[in-house]
Amino acid sequence: MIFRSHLLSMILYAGFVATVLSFLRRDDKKSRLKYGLVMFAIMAGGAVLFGWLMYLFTL
Amino acid sequence: MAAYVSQKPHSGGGPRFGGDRRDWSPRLAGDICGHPRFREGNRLKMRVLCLRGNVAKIPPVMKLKAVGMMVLGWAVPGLGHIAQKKYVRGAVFFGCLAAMTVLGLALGGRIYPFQTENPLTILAFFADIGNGLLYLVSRFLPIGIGDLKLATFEFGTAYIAGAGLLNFLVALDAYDIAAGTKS
Repeated sequence: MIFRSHLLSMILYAGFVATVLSFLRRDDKKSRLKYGLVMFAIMAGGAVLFGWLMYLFTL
Repeated sequence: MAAYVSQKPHSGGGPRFGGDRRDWSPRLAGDICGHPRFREGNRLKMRVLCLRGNVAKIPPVMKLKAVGMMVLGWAVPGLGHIAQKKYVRGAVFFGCLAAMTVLGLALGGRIYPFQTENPLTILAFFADIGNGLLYLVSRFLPIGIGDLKLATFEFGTAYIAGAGLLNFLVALDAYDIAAGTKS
């Protein structure tokens, strides 16, 4: 069994998606890096924030 | 742009360029369409047919090639880019999408066939079909069956569906490059 941690799975998923999208949307190296990092931060950070938001509203 | 706009009065339906609205030349189309890529028309060796306004149409031969690249990109992630000598981009796309798919399968994810019993799985089917050859292979070989007992089943399925959806974008990118609308 690999990836027992859902957080690690989510972070890796965000990394792959950010890499592909940065290569699709930007042409030069510097803007690709910036765009990829921003996308990764939004996806990973957003998921953690949303997770805590759901924690506040548990039944 | 103004130099190419016909001064002849016309009945409407948008501006006309160069007198005859079917007049074309890469440079003319480039100037009219204002797209930086089109301004390099002579180097691109493509015939851009500028009909009206900013609408540029690709001739059938170029379109066929672009569709071929799109199909290649769909079948194997990144192959549409590699065939157009975009080696780095193609390698990155192949590496990322293949890794996502393999991880998804290793996590026990499922590749959904078309089935109408559960309507929500139709959406998953459309995402999975983006994986190209892998999807076709999964119909004949026992891969992507999915193991519901595993805690990672949902993540595995999400990995496979995500790879398929991203591959749709990659295939469309290969089409755009072959059509000359993107470098």
